[in-house]
Amino acid sequence: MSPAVRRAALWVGLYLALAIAPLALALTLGREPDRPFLVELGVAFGFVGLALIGLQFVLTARFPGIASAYGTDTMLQFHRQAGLVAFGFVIGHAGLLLFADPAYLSFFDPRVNLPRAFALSAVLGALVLVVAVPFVRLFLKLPYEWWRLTHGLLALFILLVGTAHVLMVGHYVASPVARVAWPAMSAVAALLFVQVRLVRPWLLRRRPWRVEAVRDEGGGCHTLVLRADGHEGLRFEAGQFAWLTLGESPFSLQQHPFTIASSAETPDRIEMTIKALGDFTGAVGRVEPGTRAWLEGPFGAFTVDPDAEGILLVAGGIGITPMASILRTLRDRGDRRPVRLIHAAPTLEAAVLRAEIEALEPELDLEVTPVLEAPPEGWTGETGRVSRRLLEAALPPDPSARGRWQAFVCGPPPMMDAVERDLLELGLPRRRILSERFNIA
Amino acid sequence: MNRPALTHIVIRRVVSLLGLVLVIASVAFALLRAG
Repeated sequence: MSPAVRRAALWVGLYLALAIAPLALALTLGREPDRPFLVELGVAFGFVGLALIGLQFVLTARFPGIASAYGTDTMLQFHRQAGLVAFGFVIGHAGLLLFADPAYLSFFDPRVNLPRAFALSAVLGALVLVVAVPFVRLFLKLPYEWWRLTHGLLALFILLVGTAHVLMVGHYVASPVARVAWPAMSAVAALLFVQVRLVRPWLLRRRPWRVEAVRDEGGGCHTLVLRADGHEGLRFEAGQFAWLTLGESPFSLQQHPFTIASSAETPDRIEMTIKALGDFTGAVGRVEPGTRAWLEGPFGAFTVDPDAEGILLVAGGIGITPMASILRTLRDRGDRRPVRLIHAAPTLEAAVLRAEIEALEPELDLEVTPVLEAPPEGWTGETGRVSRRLLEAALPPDPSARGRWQAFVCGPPPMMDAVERDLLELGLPRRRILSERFNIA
Repeated sequence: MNRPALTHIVIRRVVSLLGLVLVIASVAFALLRAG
């Protein structure tokens, strides 16, 4: 077992232990009389569901250690999948109890207990919103920042009401340990939420940035050039990203993740090349130089290993930005390892930063292969999509040498899926293939 | 046809497996507790 797999297994094991902890606690400390199997199963589902919801806050708390080992992308994908599982457990909790004993329906009866009926109904509604909205957000045209805030607040509401529910029902919480453990879990989750939304922005206040310039890169893309204002800047590794806030206050709801496109050797001058895709990104071209900005980061694990003997970069469209940072950093460090870049884009205009990157070729051991889906008249380069043949040609012919290379893939999901599969089939070890996809919601 | 990404597949498998283990743990709990 490789160290990376062992470490991942350790994290997953810890996650599992925390998710099961409430059951272990109830089993060892519970002194309650026996109840039917289905009732106990329903209760177990409720405990596990609530623990999983608490753990969701840990997954999104942006712990630098975990995020840099696996990439924020992986954490968010895990968060998404785990959210669905948590939802299943909570619905299973209510469903099993109602099925085992319809008398539990009284929990939702406002005539029996109005606050309880209201709170539990609201929690079920909030759960459905939290789980369903990410899937229909774009369809509903719900702004990203509002979704992000309501998602967090609704989840917090679910967790707090869920904890109150456990304590008020009073089963398996007779022991002092259980009476402390449940509120403590909620408190930790709430603190993590406050930390991400309030403490981190507050800490950013001492590290302001200014927009120095805004460059039109063509293809609907603009580069924001940010200059550190009175501090040494942001130390990062090429390929990482940061959360950007524009405006006077770092507490703005508008915080968006963007890859850093500039060299890691200039931490006080950071460039982000941004494609107009939504409300925020569409307005980047109109940002005035001098605008106050805030950067939180760095995050991400899309970074070059020092021991990689060669580097294959496969970029599609705006996926070129982390590659630009990697190439500029290699140049600034005088790193002459072989680098092969396959730069795919629908059109020549959409191949952002192309000229600038090709200009790096004399300064690096770099070969750039542009691939255009719809090439202009007279184009003599590659056309169509990134094929297995192109990937094979970019890698060393010797399979054992290939295993010591590192491949980076960033672009539209269909391209990434195909390229990742081809690279594996060409003999690159899985741990040597890094991919970055931004699909947060 | 595009298949989902590797990392996506791996994560989905890991989470599915976790969910299964948690269901088994819940059933074990209920069996131990049920009268």
